[in-house]
Amino acid sequence: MYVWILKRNMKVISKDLIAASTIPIVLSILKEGDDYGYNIIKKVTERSNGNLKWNEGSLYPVLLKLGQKGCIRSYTIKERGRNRKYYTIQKPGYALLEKLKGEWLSLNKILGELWTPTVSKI
Amino acid sequence: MDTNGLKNIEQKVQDHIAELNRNQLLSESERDELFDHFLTTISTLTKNDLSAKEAFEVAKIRFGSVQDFRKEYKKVRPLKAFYHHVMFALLIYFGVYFLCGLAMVLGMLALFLTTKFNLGLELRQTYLMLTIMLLPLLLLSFYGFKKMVERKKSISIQAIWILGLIVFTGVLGRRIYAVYQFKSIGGSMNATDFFFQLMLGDYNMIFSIFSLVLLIYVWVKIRRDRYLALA
Repeated sequence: MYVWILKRNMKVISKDLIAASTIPIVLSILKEGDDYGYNIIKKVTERSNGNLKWNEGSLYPVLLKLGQKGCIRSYTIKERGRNRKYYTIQKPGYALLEKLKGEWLSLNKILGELWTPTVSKI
Repeated sequence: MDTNGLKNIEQKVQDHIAELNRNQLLSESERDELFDHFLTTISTLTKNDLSAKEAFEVAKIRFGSVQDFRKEYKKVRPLKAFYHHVMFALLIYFGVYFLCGLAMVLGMLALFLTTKFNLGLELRQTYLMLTIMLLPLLLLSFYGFKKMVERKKSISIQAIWILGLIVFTGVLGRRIYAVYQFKSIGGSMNATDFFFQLMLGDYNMIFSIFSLVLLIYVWVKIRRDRYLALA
C-alpha cells in the first residue's frame, strides 16, 4: 500500500521539465556548499515542498556528466565506515549556472507575460 | 537493526548495485557512492517505522528503474558501453568455440574409452553408452556455471579471461602439434616461419590476443580510476 501511494505521488511535475531543470538545480545547491548525492535530493524535495520528486537514480549520471565537463569536482570522506562522495562546484560550473539562470529567467518572463490577463482596450 | 539484519540488507543492496552495473559502466567509487545512498535511504526510512525489507523496496522504487539508470550511464559513457558490447560479442564467440571444442574432446574421450573398455558390447553401442554417460557431467557443469552467474552477476569479464585463455592455449597447442607433424614428415619450410604463418592465419588466435589486450587496457584503466579516486 505504502509503495503504491509512493509510486502514485512521484509524478508531480512532468518528466521532461524535471530533466531540463536538473542541472541548474544541482549547481544551485552546490553553490551553497559541498554536498553528497542523497543530501542533494533531500534538499530538492524540501525546497520544493515535495512538488519536485526526482527518480533518485537520475541524479548520478548528471553528476558524472557535470564532472566530465569540469563543472564540479568530487572528493571522498569516510563517514560511519562508508565512503561518502562529496561534490564541489568549480569555475566552469559557476559560469554554466549563470548561463542557465539567464535562460530560465527569460523563459519565465516570456511565459509570465503570455499568461498575464491583459485589459482589452475599447 | 540487528547485525544479521544489517548484513542481509547490505547484501541485498550490493546485489541491486550489481544489477544496476550489469553493463559494468560504474567505477568502484561510484558503486561505493550508490551503496552509501541506499543505506542512508534505508536507515532514514526505518526510523519512520518501516521494516528493513520494506525500506529497501521503497529505496529501490525511489531510485527508479534499472533500465533507465543503465541507459543514462550509456549516454554519459558511450566508449565504455561500446567496449562492453565488444566484450560481450567476444564472450559469445569464445563460448561457442569452447563448446564446440568441448564436444569434440568429449567425443574423442568417449571413443578412447570405447576402444579401451568395450564392456563386451558392440563398438557402436559402447560409444553411444559412454556418450550418454557423459551427458549428466555436461548438465552438471552447466548447472554449476548457471549458479555461479546467479551468485556473481558481473561475471562476463572473468568468464572472458578464462574462455580467452582456454581458446588461446588450445590454438597454441594445436599449432605446436601441427609444427611437430610438419617436422616429422620433413617439410622443406623453416619450422618457426611455418608456426607463425599458421598462428596469424587463425582468427581464434587473433581474437584471443585482441581480447587479452582489451582486458589489460581495462585493468590498467580501473587501477588508474581507483588511484585517482583515492588521490
